[in-house]
Amino acid sequence: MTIDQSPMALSITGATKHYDSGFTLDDITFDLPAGYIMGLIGPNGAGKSTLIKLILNMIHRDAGEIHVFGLDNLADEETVKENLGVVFDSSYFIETWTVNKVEQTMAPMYLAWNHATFDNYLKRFGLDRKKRVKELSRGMQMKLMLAVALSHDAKLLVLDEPTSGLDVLARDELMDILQNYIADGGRSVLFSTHITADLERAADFITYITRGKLYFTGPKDEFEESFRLIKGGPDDLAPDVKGVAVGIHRYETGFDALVRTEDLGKIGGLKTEEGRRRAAPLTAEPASIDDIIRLTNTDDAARAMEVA
Amino acid sequence: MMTGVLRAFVLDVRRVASQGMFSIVVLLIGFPAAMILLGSISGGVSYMPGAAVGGVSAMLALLPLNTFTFEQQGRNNWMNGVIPVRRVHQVIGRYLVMAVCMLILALEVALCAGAGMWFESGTLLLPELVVSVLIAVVAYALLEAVMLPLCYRFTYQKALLTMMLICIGFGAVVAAAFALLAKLAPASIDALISWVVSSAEAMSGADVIWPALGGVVLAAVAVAASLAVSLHIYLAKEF
Repeated sequence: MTIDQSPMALSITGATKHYDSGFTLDDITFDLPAGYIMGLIGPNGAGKSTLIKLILNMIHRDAGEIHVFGLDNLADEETVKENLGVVFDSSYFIETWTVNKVEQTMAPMYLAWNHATFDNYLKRFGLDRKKRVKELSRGMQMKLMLAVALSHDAKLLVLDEPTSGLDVLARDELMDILQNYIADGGRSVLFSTHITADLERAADFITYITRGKLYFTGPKDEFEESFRLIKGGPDDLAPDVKGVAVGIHRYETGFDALVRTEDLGKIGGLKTEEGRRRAAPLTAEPASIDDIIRLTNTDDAARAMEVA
Repeated sequence: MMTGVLRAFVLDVRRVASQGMFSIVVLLIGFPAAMILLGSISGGVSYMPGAAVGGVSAMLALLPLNTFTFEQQGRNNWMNGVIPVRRVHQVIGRYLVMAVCMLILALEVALCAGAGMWFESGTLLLPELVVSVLIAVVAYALLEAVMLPLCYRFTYQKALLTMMLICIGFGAVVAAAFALLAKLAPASIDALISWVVSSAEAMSGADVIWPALGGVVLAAVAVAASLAVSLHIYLAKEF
């Protein structure tokens, strides 16, 4: 079994997973084209790690399909995983293993293991072969997982919160590596993160999950263009704003309301980004990814999603 | 399939040897060799092979189970979701570790018991040697056949506790049965013990074959059932 030249590196259709706790990852559908980086975002507990575990068959899905380069992730599990590089937010190696032993263990697992590539990454990351995993910092452990993930010619990198333990320089370096990794156009990256600066820098596509539901999937620019942030004073929160806002945050001196761009016209008294005043002192600003996540997870937004 | 099983086997061997191979080699080779040597020098050849076999058996019983302790350390079980090996092959690979340990045990028992015989009488009594090896192997297979599914189902500590409770329960049932027999028909206990002892003593080389075969079949059935239960548990597991 070989991977085909599917234009989709990852294709998820209707993936659903119920937990006894009551949490449900509900009917997630998106595609990641080959040659691109996709950021998987959402607040804590949104279902990002659940989705990654479904891709890796670490948990059982209740419905849906997952294909990696055209291959079913369950029926063709071995071929799929030969072509997957995985990095978690914490190390999965035994703590007493040395870096050298990590290679001795992982090399026989992959047909395409490349000792020279692994060695190059160790040098690049400053990883000492004699050091034990437990002696490495969290950031260095992540780099070790990354070195393993990049040393067997994986076609799709799946990274679960890879930047959470890294300082700004290391995060920058990781983003450079990911950009170089996809440069040949045949490789792709799916990485979950809550550090949105990483997305601004590297992601081509964004999939946003909240409360187990897919909120948005598509090009990053489209995501940011899809919303506007309406700001106003404490007395300016009129029914027309409330009616179209997908999330509102009230504070002492005013409010922030997240509104879909196509609904802007339904709000009276809006001062546009260009400063054209209509009637009231409401302003519409571009919404950052943080704004979108923050305001789509307010209580108002939660109720709206429940209704939907 | 073979590739997947071999990969799983290699990974489990790495897990078992996580604290280094030296201690394993010392316990599997150095300890029995020292025991036999000590026995031959001190004249205690009758009990030294037993001590050596006991130590080696305990060590080999723990080796396949150590895969679980390391797997449960930190997030090492996540590695099972990363490597290109199906869950079925991961389980078979672990039973292969057990099978290799069983072969090593058979070899060790043969060497230790054989050395004991040689130092004691200057000859090798093949039927007795075969019986010793088979008893050790069958007992080992039965123990591991119970322990492996328990470790797949529970944490290692809980599995050990459960095994202990099973043993205590089994012991209690046997004790209760003997107590009942002693009350209802006291003579039957003596008769039973006499029958077992006389049967064992009366067994010639050819007679040993049938109980031995029975033991092997029992062990094979137990391991097959154990594998099926472990697969059932592990295929349903989420991590």
